[in-house]
Amino acid sequence: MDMKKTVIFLGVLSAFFSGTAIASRDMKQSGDVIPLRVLFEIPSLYEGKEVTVKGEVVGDIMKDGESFWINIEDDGFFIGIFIDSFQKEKIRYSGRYRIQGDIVKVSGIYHIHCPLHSGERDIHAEQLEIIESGYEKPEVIQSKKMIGSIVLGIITILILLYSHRKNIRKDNGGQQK
Amino acid sequence: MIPYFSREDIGPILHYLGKIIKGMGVLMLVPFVIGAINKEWGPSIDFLFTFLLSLSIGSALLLIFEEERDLNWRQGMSVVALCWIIAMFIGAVPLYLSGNYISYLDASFEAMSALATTGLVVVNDLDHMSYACNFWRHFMCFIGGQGIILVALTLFVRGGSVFKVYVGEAREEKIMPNIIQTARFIWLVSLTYLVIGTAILFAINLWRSISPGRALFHAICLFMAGWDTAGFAVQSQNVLYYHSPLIELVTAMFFLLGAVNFGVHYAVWTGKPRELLRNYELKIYMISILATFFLVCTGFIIQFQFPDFISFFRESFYQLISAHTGVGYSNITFHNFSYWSPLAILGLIIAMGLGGSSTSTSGGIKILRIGILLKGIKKELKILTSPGATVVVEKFHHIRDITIEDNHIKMAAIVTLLYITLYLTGGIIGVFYGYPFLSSLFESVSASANVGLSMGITSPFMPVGLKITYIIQMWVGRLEFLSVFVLFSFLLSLKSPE
Repeated sequence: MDMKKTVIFLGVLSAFFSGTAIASRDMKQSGDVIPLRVLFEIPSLYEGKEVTVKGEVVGDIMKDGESFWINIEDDGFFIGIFIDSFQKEKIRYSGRYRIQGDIVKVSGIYHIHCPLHSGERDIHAEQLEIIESGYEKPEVIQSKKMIGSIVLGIITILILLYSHRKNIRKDNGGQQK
Repeated sequence: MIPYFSREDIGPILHYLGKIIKGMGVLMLVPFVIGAINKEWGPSIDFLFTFLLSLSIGSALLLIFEEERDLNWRQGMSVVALCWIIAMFIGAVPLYLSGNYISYLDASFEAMSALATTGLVVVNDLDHMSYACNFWRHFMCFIGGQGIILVALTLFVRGGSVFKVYVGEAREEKIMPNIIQTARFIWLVSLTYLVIGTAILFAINLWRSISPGRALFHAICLFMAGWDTAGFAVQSQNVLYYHSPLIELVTAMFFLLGAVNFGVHYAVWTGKPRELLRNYELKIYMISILATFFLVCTGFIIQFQFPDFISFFRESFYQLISAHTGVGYSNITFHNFSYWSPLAILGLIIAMGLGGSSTSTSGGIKILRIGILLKGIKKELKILTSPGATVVVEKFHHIRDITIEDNHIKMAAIVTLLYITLYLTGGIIGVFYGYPFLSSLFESVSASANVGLSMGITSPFMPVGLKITYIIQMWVGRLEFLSVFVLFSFLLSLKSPE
């Protein structure tokens, strides 16, 4: 009987702990995204810990040995993410003019002064997923700018023509004298 | 003495301004072409619009004030002071049209920051800016760093007006006997380094797998803003974006070269490398860098938060030489200053305030003036401790041997005092708007000495009054007061012609 009770107790206990672990993992996966602002404003809270952040990939993907650097932007804050070649392959769009970059969710270790990268503030990505694919944006040309340019072009031509004629007249006048 | 102006001065001043406005317009064709190559039709139209606007205003001024006369001293100074303001307004037009600035004032702030080679930015969403517009930001740094007047000198200003406008742009030294030759030499040095610097940065970018087109774009922009000690960068994170100590090393090399007197460059180029060892200004510069770095290091003794010495050196020394040369490139964000001690920040403020060499692309008080003041103090101490009849002579070597005269000391002291007043005024205005004194002073010195490092005050959301204050500080600091004073006396005499 005692043995049976012990087994049941251990079963309940392990169920409780595994449940808690799963719940905690789910919580981590479902949310817990730390805004980059927080990582900059209270950095010591997260130093050397695993963090999950999200942001738009902007600029270039830059090689560093066998790995790569990307930069992500979240609400006006930027951070460098150190990724491997497998993670790099997932990124299709990097933000620049007329291109909205991929929005990525990155989990990794945050350092205010990374010992591997001569003291840079960075995140070494352990997981990277695209949560919103980037896209190309069409260029919008405002017609009022076109009209303005045409009007200015006409004014400029008129001024230059008038100036040219005035110069010719002046030259002719000079010869007559 | 306030120079007397009459309404007759207006004609020649506006005539030359007309030429400079036309010149600014012509420069718009460079980003226009870059926009067209990259099929950025919207920005291309913005540059075409500004080109036509400048051409029409410039041509109209030349039509109305057609008589070309040699400028006298006061007219030359007024042209210089005004042309920087006008260049700011014209340069701001395509920036504002890009939609990356919340107001025309912000676009003007950025244009003045570029032209004065400051590097403080109020741009929004820089990382999505067009190539054309981003190139224009950096190109303005190059134009401003060389000197708008220097650009004009080599293009279309002739005759006796030349020296008056050259001096007005804070370059009193004639490297060569002729000013036009001097201007051309400055161009030769800058363009040579432009090719070398761009090639090195391009190669590094390619090696880091950046596409060739973007690698070249980054390289040119990074060099232009570094050589001319402006400190703008293609991306929001400045140099930090690259995560590359190698790029930091190369940029540091070039902005240190940019902060050296063009006279020294000339001496080295013409086979006199010993000038590097003999030049008094360079010696003082080295001592000043070491002394301010010592202050920064001392500041960090109190709160050392780095994992190792390399991390500490990379962060602190890069900021220091960036501050001292006036470039403003940064491999950190302003948040990092939160763990810099006040003493370390004070070290940066002093470095920014002192600035780089005279007749270089740096701003600030300038090292030569500090050197002259030190010699002046030494001379006075010698006089005080010598017997009455002793004649004390102090000399230094700067391109040639120079004997210190009272006039040198007086001029150096006046300009130093004016800079300190400018620094403090901006700092007090910052405090008036509610910012802490140290941050306000930092930002004020950064603007006045045309550095560009920021502790976070400069942003699109800072008070309008502070934006205007910094614009004035950047302008006055870049021109080193003289031409601005002459302009104000001109405006005052127009109001009261008697």
